[in-house]
Amino acid sequence: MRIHLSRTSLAEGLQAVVRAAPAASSVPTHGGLRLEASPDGVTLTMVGGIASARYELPAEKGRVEVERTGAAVVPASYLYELVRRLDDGPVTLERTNSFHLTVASPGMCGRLSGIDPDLFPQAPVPGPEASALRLPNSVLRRMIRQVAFAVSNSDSRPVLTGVLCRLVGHRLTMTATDGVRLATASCETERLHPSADPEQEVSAVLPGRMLTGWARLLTDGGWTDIRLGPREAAFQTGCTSLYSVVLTGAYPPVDKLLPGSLAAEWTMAAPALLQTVERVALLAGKEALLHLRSTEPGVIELTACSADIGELREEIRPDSLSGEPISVSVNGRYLADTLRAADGQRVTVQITGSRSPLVIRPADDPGSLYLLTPVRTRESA
Amino acid sequence: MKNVSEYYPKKGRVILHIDMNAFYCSVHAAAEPDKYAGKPIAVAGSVELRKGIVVTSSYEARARGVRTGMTVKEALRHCPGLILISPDFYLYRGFSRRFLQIVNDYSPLVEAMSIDECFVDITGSKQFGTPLEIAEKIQIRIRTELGLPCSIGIAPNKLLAKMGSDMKKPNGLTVLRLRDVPEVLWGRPCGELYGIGSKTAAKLAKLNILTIGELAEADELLLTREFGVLGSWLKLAASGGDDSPVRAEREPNKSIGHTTTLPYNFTEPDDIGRVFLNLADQTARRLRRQQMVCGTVQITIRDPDMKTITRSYTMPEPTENIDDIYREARRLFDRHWTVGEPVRLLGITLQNLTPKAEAAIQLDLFDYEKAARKEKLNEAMDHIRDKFGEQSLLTAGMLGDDPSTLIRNHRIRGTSLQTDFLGKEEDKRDDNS
Repeated sequence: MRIHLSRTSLAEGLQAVVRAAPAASSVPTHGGLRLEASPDGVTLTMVGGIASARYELPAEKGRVEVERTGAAVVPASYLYELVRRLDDGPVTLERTNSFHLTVASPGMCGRLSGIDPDLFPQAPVPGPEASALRLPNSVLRRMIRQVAFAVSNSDSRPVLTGVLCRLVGHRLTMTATDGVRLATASCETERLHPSADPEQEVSAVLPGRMLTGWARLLTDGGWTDIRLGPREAAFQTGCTSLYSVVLTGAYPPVDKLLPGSLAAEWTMAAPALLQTVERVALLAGKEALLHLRSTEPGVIELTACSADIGELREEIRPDSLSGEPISVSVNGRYLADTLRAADGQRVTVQITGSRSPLVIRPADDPGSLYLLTPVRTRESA
Repeated sequence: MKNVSEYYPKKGRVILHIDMNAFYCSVHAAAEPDKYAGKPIAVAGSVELRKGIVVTSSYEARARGVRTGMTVKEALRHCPGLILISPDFYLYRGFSRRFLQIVNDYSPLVEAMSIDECFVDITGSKQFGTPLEIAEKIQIRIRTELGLPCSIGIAPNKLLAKMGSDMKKPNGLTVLRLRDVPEVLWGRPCGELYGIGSKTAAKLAKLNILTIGELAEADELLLTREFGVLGSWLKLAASGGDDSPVRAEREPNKSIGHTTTLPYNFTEPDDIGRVFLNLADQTARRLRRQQMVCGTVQITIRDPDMKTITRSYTMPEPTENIDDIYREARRLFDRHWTVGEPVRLLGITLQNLTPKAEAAIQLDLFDYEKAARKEKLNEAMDHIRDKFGEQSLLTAGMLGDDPSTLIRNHRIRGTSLQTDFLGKEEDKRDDNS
């Protein structure tokens, strides 16, 4: 294999796959990058434990030129960091007889040790039965940011480390929960392959970290095509593709989680509430315990105190407040995360009791909804 | 105005030892003066059984010959009008907390020694007056606000403060300075020195050291040869020396544990599971009695060679439920023990305890409704078992004939469930509510 590329094209491709591929793993090939040169161009592939990324560099005079086809596998981070630091100009990559890769640019010549490309694992590519849909990158990115924060970090319930993606008709709904908070958002999409039954319901649980990585890659323009298969999923925009396994295991039924009875409802400006919550939570210490109380008519009191830091009390006057006086304690950090993700100008907080979840609805986005389970404390008892 | 600083030592410390006089009886008299104040009363365990023993008695009862440790029968012979009361630890704890709060108003360095006594370091409390003034204020406040008598010792260290509070009861206020030691203490028998038990006293007597004064003048080499490191301490203490600090921090979280030795070496997972279930049941029962929740589950496994291992797991959220405790115990066992290896002894210890009322427990989105129902079920089951005995209500998995099923039988095996003071507190609460 011998290829000539412009540094900018190569750097762009490397950045995309390195960013989209998950963090380092103990499996040696996981940190590896596969370069494959064909007459059509060069393909960069990284295969990770949860997701694999692929970037196509189509052959183009002066930018991507394939002199000799072939493949090579080298450590992704070294090649990326090296190319990142080069001056703009032509870069030549050549695999010699062994598995080494020679990297040359004017005045520089280096060699990276590699491994046998045949040992490189296959990316999980969804089969032809996968359902396909398309949505604007700006919409997808917003949706991922609205829900992905709520996935579980713990392996005790592996399926909860993923985001449940459900496609009913043209509506895509994403739901994430770690068992304490739950976030859900939805949007209209375009279903590709109109020959397939558009009313057929499709659902898949995708790794939260893979989606977060994807959102990080996206710019506001363009579209993402998504294919959801029973075991694999693929995301593709521009030259970049991301493949991921679909998490197995039954996602707990989330439709029944919405608490029935309503004790109180407050509507207020979201940015102001977030600021107050962040301020009060600052003094809540490690446990981040925050107490919400509606006492005198029209006022909500937020308090936090920790023995070693101090205490803070702040009042909010919501635009509207109905229901009974109530007191509820929550994890302030979780509440702040939720409000940040809710991403709107006004927010409605529905209280269903001091021991049942808060329901948070962005007033200007009926497709999204958040639940936050309270903390049982003496104050809220 | 006098200069308060002159009443404090330039270098050393000022320690008070506050000892509540006949605490349990005084509390009953304070709580229900119409019934008990000024009368001969005694607190006795198991009054109903008539085999009870006098735990403590009022000064009126003591005047008629009632002593701690007497059987109820004996006490009634000395004092036929004696009013017997069963202990109410909930009440005692309440008063204890309030008396410690009063003391705490004068210094944060308060070390509670037991339910009815504490040390307080007032070296830095000059703003409240001289040591004697502070002691008087504390004594008066405890008397007027709580209606309880106490004796206070004022001294440069804990040892002498403790000796001081012992000098005059009730309502004593004794200053014991280092220079008073020869005159006040040296003539007394060694056994009266705080920290010397009957065994040490007997050993000293063999060395012909009978009084504290003789101990103070004894050869240190001889003492260290006889008692090891304790020897030097004995000599120092007899001269009134003690530099142990007043430890304000509360004692580390206690734990609740049960172990059981198996009748033969168990290898079957089902048998082991049953033992863990019974252990989880009884530890969880005690946990709830004490109104605590636990954050950590520890298991103990001993093999036939007496090699013992302990493994523990700290849960994301504290619990009081048998199923959580059992699940974590089983998981620990499965992870740290090879299936089929023989087991001689098993135990569960609940650690990292916090009072349930104070614990902040993050509720689970999928489980919060079930958790509320489980709490009610626990309450109902505990209530039934409190009333009709541990055996009255079991889950089928607990049934078996190994000793782990016997840990419920408190007549055969005096478990700490019976003597849990806090446990009685819970009983009492149920009665009141």
